[in-house]
Amino acid sequence: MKEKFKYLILIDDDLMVNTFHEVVLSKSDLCEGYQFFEDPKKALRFFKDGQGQSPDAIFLDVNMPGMNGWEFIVALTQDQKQVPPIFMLTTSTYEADKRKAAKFQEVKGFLQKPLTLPTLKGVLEDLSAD
Amino acid sequence: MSRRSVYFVAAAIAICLIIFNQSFIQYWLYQKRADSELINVGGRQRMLSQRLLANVYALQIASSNTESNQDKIHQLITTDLADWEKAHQYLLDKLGNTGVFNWDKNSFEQLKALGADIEITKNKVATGISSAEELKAFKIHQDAYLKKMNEVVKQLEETSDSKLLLIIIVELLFALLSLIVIYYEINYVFKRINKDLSDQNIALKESNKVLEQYAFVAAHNFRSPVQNIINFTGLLTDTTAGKISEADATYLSYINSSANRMKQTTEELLQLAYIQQQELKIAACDMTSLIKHVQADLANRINETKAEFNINALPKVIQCDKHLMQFVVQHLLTNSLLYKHPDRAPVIDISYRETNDMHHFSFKDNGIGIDPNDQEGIFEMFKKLHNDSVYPGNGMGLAFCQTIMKKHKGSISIKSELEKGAEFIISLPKKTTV
Repeated sequence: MKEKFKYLILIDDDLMVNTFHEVVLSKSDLCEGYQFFEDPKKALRFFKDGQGQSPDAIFLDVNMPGMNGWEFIVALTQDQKQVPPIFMLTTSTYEADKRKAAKFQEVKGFLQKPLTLPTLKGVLEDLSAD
Repeated sequence: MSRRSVYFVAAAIAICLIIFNQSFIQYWLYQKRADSELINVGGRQRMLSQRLLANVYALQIASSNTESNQDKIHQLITTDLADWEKAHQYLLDKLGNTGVFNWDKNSFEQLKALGADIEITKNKVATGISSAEELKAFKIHQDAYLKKMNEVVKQLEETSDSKLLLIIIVELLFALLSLIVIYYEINYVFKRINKDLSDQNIALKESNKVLEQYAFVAAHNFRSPVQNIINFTGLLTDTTAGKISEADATYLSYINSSANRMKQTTEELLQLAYIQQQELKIAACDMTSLIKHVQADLANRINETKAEFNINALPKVIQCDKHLMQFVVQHLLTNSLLYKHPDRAPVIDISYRETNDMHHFSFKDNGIGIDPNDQEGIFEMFKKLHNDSVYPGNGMGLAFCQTIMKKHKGSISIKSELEKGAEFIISLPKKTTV
């Protein structure tokens, strides 16, 4: 089993959520590196430019202005041959969203905000199992 | 022009057209009656000419027989002559002056010429008819008049008939015009007004829907900020532990727990909106496995309270919205675990009963129960019997359950006494239709 995430990308338009997640990640000691994006379009450009290493996973907010999580996935799969596992992060737990998540094979999980130590561990286990 | 005045003008035009048509018909009916009267008088003239002839004969016979009724016959002849002349003048006046009949000039001249015939008759009667020759000449004269008058009456009738035909055609055209005008008014004015009304109706329904969604949207937008408050007050609690005064730590915890309560209310409002907006998804549902599922969700709480379940002979499959029914069962079991009696571990009996067309599921516990006096309104929104600090919650759960059961065209009811546990019975139709 993987002990730590090497690199994570987190996309959420809410600065406070990102700030909190940064605290959670740094405290968890489960992640060697990570990058936050408030604008999914900037994240797309980041992938397009091919800078830096490919992340172990993307944590992606569903509701964002301009480009929502689903649109981001569609755009990313068009740009990239290999798409990292994506975990949707949302405050909603609607069936409709979950059903939508099931339609995207890139989406490996549907998580409720905020990220916590147990959820991070769970994701790490899921990724190791694959 | 405002919509109201367009409507008014359109209605006024339609009414005017109808009134005009009716006036037209009535006017020509009146004219037709006048025509008939003229024709009638013409006919009477013929009759008078022949009666004069008959009376002149009668006078002849009477005088040769020296009968006593000669004066009477003479009287009749004089009256008829006067009538005849008078009627002739009447016809001339009517046909000559008013021009109503729209007669051609020749016909009128023909009628006018008959005046001379009447004059001759008058003179002959005045001078007296004695010989057989004179009588014969008088007969020829009267018959000639009859023939000419026949001609005149025929002319009158023909003119009247052709006028009638014209009137019928004009009237049909007017009726057609009215129909066309009214058709266009209906199409372009009344229908449009109707459409405006139904548009307004649709807009109203939409605004109602928006209002319904308002709670949903508001609650939805509360979510993230409330979650942020919870996140950061939690973080602050950790980072400031031991560094701030006990009072400050308490204040911080108050903020945190308030935000948590707000979060719960928000979630429940969203859940209610969700339930209200959802169409029922009726499918076969195994209640036994549904209850097992709920028990698994509540495993922690069940272990903590050492709760015991007795589940008796439930039907294999019922028709309902599985997701919503699970919510009801979960809520009822959560309540039983929450309102447990402090002196005893919860025992929850789940049983089934059926009537002709309904399923009834009973969820019975041995908890603190509810005083019958407090049971009224228990399924209403925000009704709570206990203080938050003792039993947490917003008093929305049972309201949700009722909403869900009503959506199924079923019901939820309670039987309980204080200290003696509570029994909730949910009923739903065997044949569920959406």
